[in-house]
Amino acid sequence: MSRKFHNMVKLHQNQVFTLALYMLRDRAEAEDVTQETFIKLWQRLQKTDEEIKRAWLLTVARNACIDRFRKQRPISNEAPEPVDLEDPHFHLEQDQLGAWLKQAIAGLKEPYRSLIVMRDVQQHSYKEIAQMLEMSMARVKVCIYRARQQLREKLPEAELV
Amino acid sequence: MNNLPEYPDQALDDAIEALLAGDLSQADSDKLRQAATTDQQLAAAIVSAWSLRKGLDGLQTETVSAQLEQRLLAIPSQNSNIWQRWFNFSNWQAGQSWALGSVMAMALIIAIGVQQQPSREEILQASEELEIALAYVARTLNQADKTTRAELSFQVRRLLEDKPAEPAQTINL
Repeated sequence: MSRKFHNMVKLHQNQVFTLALYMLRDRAEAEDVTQETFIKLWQRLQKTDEEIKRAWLLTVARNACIDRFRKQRPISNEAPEPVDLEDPHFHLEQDQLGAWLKQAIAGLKEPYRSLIVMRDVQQHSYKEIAQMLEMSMARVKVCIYRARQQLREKLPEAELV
Repeated sequence: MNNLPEYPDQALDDAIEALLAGDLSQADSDKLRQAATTDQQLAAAIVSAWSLRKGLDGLQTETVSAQLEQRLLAIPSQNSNIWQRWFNFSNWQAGQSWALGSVMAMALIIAIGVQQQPSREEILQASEELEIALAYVARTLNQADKTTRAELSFQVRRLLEDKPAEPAQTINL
């Protein structure tokens, strides 16, 4: 069972961490959420033989991120802050548009934020996303459309950064 | 949020996204491009979608740090309960738990038997079963002992090999 768990860690750790990082915009918190998610995976693996898929992991990670938002701060609806060029993680970015987008995505409301990450960063299909978030395909499409619209509206700000 | 209406320009948005992804047929792409030459709003929508797509395509999956990966891989050892760890201790767990279970069952039978005044046959039967169980325990422990000795001897040999040459010491027990 431990071997199975190790394989799943190797296979999915980056996906889980990416979702958490884009949602929380904080490496330490994203690492904690990733760890929490895999602890839940381990507990579940011990209880059941059923095949656990990536979708389950991402759903658990997303819920953990949302819980953190609820506990720590209200969900932000504000425009993203300008890119902090002193932040080493952003300093590593080759593309300033990419750095700005990360901030802009984190500034989106839920479920827009996780939908954009799942669709446009992690390249999941609409069908997969609909299953993960227990939404209809139509609703997923509408939300992604709205999320992109919001990002497009803010795009001119990126050119000023 | 549950009753979101379908947005009116969904087909157009889908077409623009398909155009940017290269999934639109040549004929449809040409038609859209042609329309954009006369429709300023459409042209602006395509440019804006293209800029966003360019930015999103540059975003990549993040990689976990080596420390986090270690933390994740250590989860099984840190999150198993003590009994589970004990049962997972070695390969002879099945035999050992079977043997201990039998001994406990025998003890229970004897305890009950003492209270209920068992017949001579029952006492004989229980004694035989207890003997078998104890023999199994002894065999299992003997096997574990051999394994432990072999491991110990192997480890000591390794330790000795890493040291500079010294006269061998004989241990007299």
